[in-house]
Amino acid sequence: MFSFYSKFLKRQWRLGAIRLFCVAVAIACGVTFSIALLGDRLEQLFKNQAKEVLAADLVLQSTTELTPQQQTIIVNTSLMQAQTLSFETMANANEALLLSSVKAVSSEYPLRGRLQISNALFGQAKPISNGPPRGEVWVEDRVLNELALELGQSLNIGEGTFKITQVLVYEPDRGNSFYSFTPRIMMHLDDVSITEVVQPGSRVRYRYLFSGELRELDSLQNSIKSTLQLNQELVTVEAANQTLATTLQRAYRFLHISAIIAILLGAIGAALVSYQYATEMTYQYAVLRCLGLQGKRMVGAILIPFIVFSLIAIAIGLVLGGVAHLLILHSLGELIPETLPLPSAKPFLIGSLTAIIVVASFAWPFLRKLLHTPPKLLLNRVESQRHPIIFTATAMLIGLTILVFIGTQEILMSAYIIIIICAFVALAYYLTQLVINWIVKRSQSANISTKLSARMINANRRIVSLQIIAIIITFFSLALIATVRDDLLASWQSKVPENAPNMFVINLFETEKDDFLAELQHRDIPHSPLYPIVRGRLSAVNDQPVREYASKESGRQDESLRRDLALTWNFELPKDNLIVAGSWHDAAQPAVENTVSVEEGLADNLEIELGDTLEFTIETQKIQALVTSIRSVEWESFTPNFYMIFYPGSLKGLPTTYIASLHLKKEQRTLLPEIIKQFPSATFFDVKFLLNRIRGIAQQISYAVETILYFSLFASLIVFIAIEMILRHYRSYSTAIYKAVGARVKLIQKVFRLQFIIIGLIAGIIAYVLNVIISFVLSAYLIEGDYIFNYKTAILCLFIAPLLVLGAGYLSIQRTSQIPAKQLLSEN
Amino acid sequence: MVFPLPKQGVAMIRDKIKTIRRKNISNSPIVSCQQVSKAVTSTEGSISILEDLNLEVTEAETIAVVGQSGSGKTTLLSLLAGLDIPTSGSIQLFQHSLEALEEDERASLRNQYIGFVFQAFHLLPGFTALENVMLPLEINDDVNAKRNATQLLERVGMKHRLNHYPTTLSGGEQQRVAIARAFATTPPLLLADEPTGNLDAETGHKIIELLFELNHEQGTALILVTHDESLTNRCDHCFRLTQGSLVQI
Repeated sequence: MFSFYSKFLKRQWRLGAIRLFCVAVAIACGVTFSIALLGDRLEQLFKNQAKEVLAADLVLQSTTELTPQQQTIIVNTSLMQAQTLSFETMANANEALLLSSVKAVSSEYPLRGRLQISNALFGQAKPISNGPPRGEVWVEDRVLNELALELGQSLNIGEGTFKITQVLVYEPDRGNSFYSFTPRIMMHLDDVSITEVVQPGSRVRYRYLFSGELRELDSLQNSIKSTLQLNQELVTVEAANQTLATTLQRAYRFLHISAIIAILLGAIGAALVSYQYATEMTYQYAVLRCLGLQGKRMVGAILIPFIVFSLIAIAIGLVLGGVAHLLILHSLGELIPETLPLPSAKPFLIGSLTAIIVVASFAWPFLRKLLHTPPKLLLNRVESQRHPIIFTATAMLIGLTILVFIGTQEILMSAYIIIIICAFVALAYYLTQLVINWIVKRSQSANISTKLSARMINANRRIVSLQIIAIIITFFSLALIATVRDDLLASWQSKVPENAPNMFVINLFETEKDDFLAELQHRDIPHSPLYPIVRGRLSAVNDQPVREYASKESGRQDESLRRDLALTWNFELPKDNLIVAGSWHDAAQPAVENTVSVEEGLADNLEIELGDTLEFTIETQKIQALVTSIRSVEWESFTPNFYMIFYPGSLKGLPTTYIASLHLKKEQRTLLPEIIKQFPSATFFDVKFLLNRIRGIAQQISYAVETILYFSLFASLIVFIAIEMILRHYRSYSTAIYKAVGARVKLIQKVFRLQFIIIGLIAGIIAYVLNVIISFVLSAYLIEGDYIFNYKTAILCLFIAPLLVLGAGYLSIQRTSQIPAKQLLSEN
Repeated sequence: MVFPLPKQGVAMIRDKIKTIRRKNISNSPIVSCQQVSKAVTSTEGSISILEDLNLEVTEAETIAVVGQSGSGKTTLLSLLAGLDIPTSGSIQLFQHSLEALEEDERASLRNQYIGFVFQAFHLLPGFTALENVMLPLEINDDVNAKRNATQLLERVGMKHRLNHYPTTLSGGEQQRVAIARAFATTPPLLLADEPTGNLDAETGHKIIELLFELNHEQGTALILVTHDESLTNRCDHCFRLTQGSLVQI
């Protein structure tokens, strides 16, 4: 029996449809596997680091130093303790500046896990149990690269100068944001005072680390909880891991959604080739039935090849996916850590499951009819073409839903995606019909080859439309990702006016304020007014604590509640602000009580109205203020903007720093190191640097998405070739008729070539037009910039798409034009 | 040798053919097979289908070829149409030696001189009746393709079905369209391969009537391959193909 099946399998493999089936299923399997593999390896990494994710067992996070009461509690605990202090500042060396993220650590840090350092750039990392000693700094490789420094050289931070002794490769508690805009510098906590960067009111983050016995930890947690301020948070290992898991899940979902196109095209390809395979095999199975093959052997003859070829497809898919995941890793570059742990079995299961769903819901509906092939079919050929439409459509819809759900893991999101896909396909189909109609009409007066090409497209209009839609979807997606990467980000960046502020200064102190303004005036540097900042949190609305007022159930949610707000005061309404409700406070109308003006978006989200009383917690103090106006704010003006502007005097006596924006001309940039030296505590943010960083990250992600989209390109070619297989009979038949009525081979080849060019052009033009429309809409409404013509997308859609279709089409019909016309006679 | 394609349409071809016929072709055969043999090679060795076959057909002559299945009737037709070449011997078609021509040259010759009617009609699905008939005219760059095709379809009684697709036509209607297509370029030679084989007796009879009517109207020579021996009475000559050779009956 084995010999019967093995021979049977060998013969089946010769069928083009079977090989194509394997490729189509492999694509769906491969693309899912690649993303699942990436996700899983990152998950493994974080799991391995889970215990050391905090570098402690418990962390108390705060934007201010601890209260005296808290300090007493801490002193009395027997737990091991360490402390870190993080802030952003401009480090400088060799006359160059770099906005960096400094982490100052006490000698005990880390309490859990170990740091990894290297004594050479890209050298071998070695673990170490403590941070840098005093006078030294350890830096991430980016610091050395961007400041053109080498180990052993000096780096200036504020007023302090430090020797760079090691490259910092890994820190255990950085896992939850594995990439940050700014490179890390690690120094000793006791050296912070030398820098003079941190002053009361500076934007810093304190972390108090604890580790030890569980009972002790619980006891500490209990005593601290009741003393927590709004700007403080207790973080456990479980909570940190939960945040991490959520971030990871989001990233995974995003990549998976972009893979859905490839998975679906692969599934459609599998469905089409299965249809073709079933058509080709029906008579073979009818003959086998006639010859007496019955029962289990008949079922085996159908199922065994199907299962074997599906397994081959899964194997190919896993290899393909493995390679693709390496490409995606490469695209993401520094966004993810260099070395990742080996994966678990999960991605293999997800990849295989995708293949099984594709096979079961897209291929099996066509193949199952083979099980019931009646021998009488040999007498009545028409019956073989019938497939139960409702069963097939239902199976496909269920399959589609499951495939989308695997990616999104959310029912509502899956529903949205399915609706968007259906709407896009309907629009593409409608446009395709319009264009085909136009071409058929116009071709009436064209030359013979164009006329015949148009007629042949019209003759197979439905199935050719499917070819076209597959190509539209692919090229539209490829063009869109290129547009987002090249144009939208550039347009967003170029939207910044020439003379717009390009530098922000924060952490300026009261004592430095006048000197700083004088310095700017002296250097002739245009700047915004200096705005005072007091950091505080909104703690109550109309005496109702904000945790209750903005609870999940209330529907009042705003991102600003999760962090400290920069509170300011001013008599003058900032330039780009507009009062939309109430009236602005001014010096002429002295307020009898504290009043505040609230930003429109925040007021909307939190349903804050004029006359409401807001309470703010600033360090340990509570301040109440009456809402007297609501303002609209131009957030993209590159000048300091605020959610809350108080009546001057309301925040008197609280720790205050100042913020301003400057416009440094090119030639004035050289003055910066000097200014920074004068004001060591101030932090300068280069807007261009930040915009470039954001753009860089978006570009890296877009390259990763593009890698996934190449799967769609292959899948759409599979759909195209599968349809050519279905059309093969028609093409051979028409070739024979053309020859019989006297057409030359050259003409026939020209007709075929033209058909493919027309198909490619229709798809390319529609993809391009849709891309231009979407890009225009995105430019106009999302970033309010100008639409930029992108020659790359034009070349991609209008040249590469038709050429690719021509190439694939030509390969698939290569032998068709050689079909001798005498076949028509012998068929009699 | 390359045959120049006429640019002025069917009317021009018709005139040209008439001129040729008026001159001297009427006296000489338009088809001449001399010692034609055809063998095919298979794993079992060489199988001979036609052996030293001789045949001459003059202008407007009608010839029926009968024979058992597998006797080589279809092979003979494909050789006469230049769809295949003989293993040995010579076929002269309108004074051109077929075996000396390239495939494209044979295609041009077919387009100008030969019309085909098949048993299975062989209309292009997805093309309307009118488009099917226009096909050989358009290949010939006939600027009046639509007008001429319409006229022919009217002639074969298909005026009301011009824009219908083959799948919506009955067998008899499909064969009428196929006949119109065969006569579209006003060929001096028509090859018909079992034209009634797929039709019921009554429809078949009507189709044969139509075929002979057009044949007379256009003065076309006809080689009719058929199983139906009753048709042999309507032809000028009748041959039986047996053991690879033609025997006149």
